[in-house]
Amino acid sequence: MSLDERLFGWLYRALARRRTRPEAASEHAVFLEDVADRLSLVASALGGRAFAVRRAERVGGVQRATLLLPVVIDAYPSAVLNMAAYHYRVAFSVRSELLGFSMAGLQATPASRAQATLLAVAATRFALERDLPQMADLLVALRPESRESYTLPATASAIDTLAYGDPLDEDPVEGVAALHATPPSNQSELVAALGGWGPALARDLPDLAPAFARHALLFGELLLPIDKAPPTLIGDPSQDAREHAGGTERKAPARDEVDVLTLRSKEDENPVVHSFEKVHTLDDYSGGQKRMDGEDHLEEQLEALEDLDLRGVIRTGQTASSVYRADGLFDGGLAGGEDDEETRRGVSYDEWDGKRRRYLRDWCTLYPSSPPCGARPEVVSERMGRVRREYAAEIKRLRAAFEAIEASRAWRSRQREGDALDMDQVVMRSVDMVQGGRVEERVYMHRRRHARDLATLVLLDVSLSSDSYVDDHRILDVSRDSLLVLGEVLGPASDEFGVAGFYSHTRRDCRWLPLKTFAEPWTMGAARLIALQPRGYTRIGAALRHGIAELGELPAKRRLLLLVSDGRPTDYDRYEGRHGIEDVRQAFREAEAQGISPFALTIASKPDASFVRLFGAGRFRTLPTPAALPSSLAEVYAQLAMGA
Amino acid sequence: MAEPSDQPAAWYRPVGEEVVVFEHCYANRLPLLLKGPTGCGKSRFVAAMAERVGRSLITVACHDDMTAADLLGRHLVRGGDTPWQDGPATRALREGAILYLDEIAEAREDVLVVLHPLTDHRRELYLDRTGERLVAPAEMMLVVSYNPGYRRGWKELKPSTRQRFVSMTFGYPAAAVETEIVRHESGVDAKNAKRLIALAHKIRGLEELGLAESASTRLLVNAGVLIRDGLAPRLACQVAIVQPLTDDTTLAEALSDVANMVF
Ligand SMILES: Nc1ncnc2c1ncn2[C@@H]1O[C@H](COP(=O)(O)OP(=O)(O)O)[C@@H](O)[C@H]1O
Ligand SMILES: [Mg+2]
Repeated sequence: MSLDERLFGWLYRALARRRTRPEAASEHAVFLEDVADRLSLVASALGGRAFAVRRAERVGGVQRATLLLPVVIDAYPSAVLNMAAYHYRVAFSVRSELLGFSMAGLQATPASRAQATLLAVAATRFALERDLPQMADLLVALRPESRESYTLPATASAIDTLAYGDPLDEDPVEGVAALHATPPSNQSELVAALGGWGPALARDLPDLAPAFARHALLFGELLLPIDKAPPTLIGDPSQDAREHAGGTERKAPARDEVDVLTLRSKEDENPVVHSFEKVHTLDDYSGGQKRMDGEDHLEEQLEALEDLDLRGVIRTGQTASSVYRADGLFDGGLAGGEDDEETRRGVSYDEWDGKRRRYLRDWCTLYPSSPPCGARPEVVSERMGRVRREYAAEIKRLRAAFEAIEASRAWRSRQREGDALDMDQVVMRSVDMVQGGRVEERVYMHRRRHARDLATLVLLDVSLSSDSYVDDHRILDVSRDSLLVLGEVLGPASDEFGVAGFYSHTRRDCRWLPLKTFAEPWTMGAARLIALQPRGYTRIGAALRHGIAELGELPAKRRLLLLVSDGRPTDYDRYEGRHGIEDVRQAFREAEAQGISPFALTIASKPDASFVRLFGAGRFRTLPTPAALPSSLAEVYAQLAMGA
Repeated sequence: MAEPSDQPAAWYRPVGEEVVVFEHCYANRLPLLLKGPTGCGKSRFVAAMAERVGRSLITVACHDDMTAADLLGRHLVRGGDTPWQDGPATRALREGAILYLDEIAEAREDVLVVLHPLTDHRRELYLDRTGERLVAPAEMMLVVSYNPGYRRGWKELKPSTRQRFVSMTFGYPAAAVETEIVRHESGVDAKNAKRLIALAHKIRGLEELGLAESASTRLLVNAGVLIRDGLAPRLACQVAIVQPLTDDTTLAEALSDVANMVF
């Protein structure tokens, strides 16, 4: 393991201990982490394209394909209403994004942000309610009640008029009613309207920003679009200076935007990417950046960045400087690369660019390593003994299940002898006897011993994320154990079975570790599995494509490609977010197109909606605890082996 | 297995060029393959076309265990007698009917090969049990359907089979047409029909559900029937659309959320 990897492993584990759930919430509170997947699906359905959900640092809003939502909603006296508020907010933000409203071209002060958001509400609501008439009723139910807290009645009236379409008889702020009647319907009209009305609104409604805050739960606020953010330097102390000047908001850093600002910043001289291996598995990863690989395009990286939770990328003061230090270390750590044993020829594979719907030709180079050394025999026997003891019940149960499968395997009809009568042949025989033709003697059915027409390749993610712990189990240990269990269960029947590990260091260096080739006996594979150490990052697509190529060479009629991983495509060079997901999905499609059945087993504490996007419905199984893996792997194998 | 579908007056709302194509195929004795997701009107189309050309329709729902005998026929044992019974394919040739093999990819390839002589210039079937050679009359036509999005395991149609057919793709009709279909089929009122279509469009845009699993016209018709019969629209969507589509709880919740926003 190289220095940067070790350092990062340490950083990761330190961060993993943090928890994110806010305390002091009522029993009716709805937490974002419990409903994020659901909301992201709702948003994607409403928007007609994929939307991700992230927690907002402040009020939140929407930035292209990312909804920033409050971490908890506890403003209403029932869980139903709190959930409904999330629904309203999601539907509203998606609509606002489809209309293209943002803070682009506007001054990012709290006052003008509140003005812009309020002016955009009317047009957004209009479009929303035309599409979903129910939303009007929902808004009535969710509208905050008391007006007492407004210092100025004019503000109350303006908010009522613009946000809720509830104009008073007379218009205490001249022109607000007119704005409501013909609200700005796109971004340029919004900018123009604020040019005209901004000064008047600022004069007549000096308390707008704090007053609107109570309503922002439902509407969010307009944000800078991701690529319009002005440059700022990471850790630049002057960043504090651009924090908002208004009242309570001063202390809250506007990270929803700030982290994005960062990225833009170093674009020219020293492009940085944000993501580490393992970052994805963390709810609350905060901080980190690294050098990206050569010539890859920042434009595309922004796309990946957008999908990620970037809150940590910029921290001012202490935190930021420590992140910076880490960055310096990476430079040194990476330069040497790791063991350069492999100077052998690499194989090129395409990668799918989901955004442009085209392949990046020969984008990845994969180096098949020679089989790694196995563990020493005493280590192997010690470990195997432990696996056999620990999973004794499991192994017994699964063996019985496999025997049952064998028993139900295809019967061979028209045999001279066998275990059962072939009724079709018996009938034909009596027909022949009546008609006086040649009498058929082959009237038995015989059970086939093995279906030799199935070949399976298991792809094991050995990247650093497998070095992390879920439920006190190290992921790599558990996936290793599960393969050992499967080997025990299959026994000598395992000859059409291959196992390979994979990891990567950018697209130029994807590695393939043959752990058990199809020809080798399980004992070889077991020894290598036991010696396996986590390393590198996770470029799943290239590994899948190599697996497809290997399976494609086998004569078997049915071919299975089983991926065991945490379901997080990650690599230095922007292999993450939507790009990574779409590439994996495409590789799954390629497998299917070649008659190979792909299936993924992923370990995740709760079901993650992104897995459906990653692998396709019915193409994966999520395991809540790593402990479930050994039996699941064997079960899935049994199901797939038997099915179809 | 073979179910003679003789529902009178199959109502079919043309969506594109499919009726013209059918007529040309029929006149020129070319077999036809209909591709498309489930519930988008393929079976209904075939029923309507059979009526249009005035032939009876013989439908076979293909499946894994289907044997050649299931298509061609077999001898039965009746006392000391062994009468021959025609299978649906044989019957279609004798009667000059439209033979419709639904979900043909479900059938095993070695079974489908017995139909190969029927799909080229020979237009005949050979019954090896009886030694009979049957030539298809001009009125007889073979139509098969296939759902490309729905691939269970390794099933896909082999080129050797699919290249024997003239092929058309069926998709979900445009909103106005689909509204008309749902209204006609379910009798639901215009407002709810429009909402059903709006809901379907949102669900179909969701890539988390593959095309194969997406909200079909059939599901909308079912929901429409329940609504017309007085079931609360949200509940109708839940039981007729959401639950049939997915077993995944998160996905089901999200789809219900969307249904509740539309209704
Ligand atoms: N173009 C159409 N015209 C009339 N009814 C249609 C049409 N498309 C779909 N339907 C309705 O949808 C239902 C399902 O269609 P069906 O033909 O059974 O689908 P498929 O065979 O493609 O699975 C039909 O029973 C009918 O009510
Ligand atoms: Mg059908």
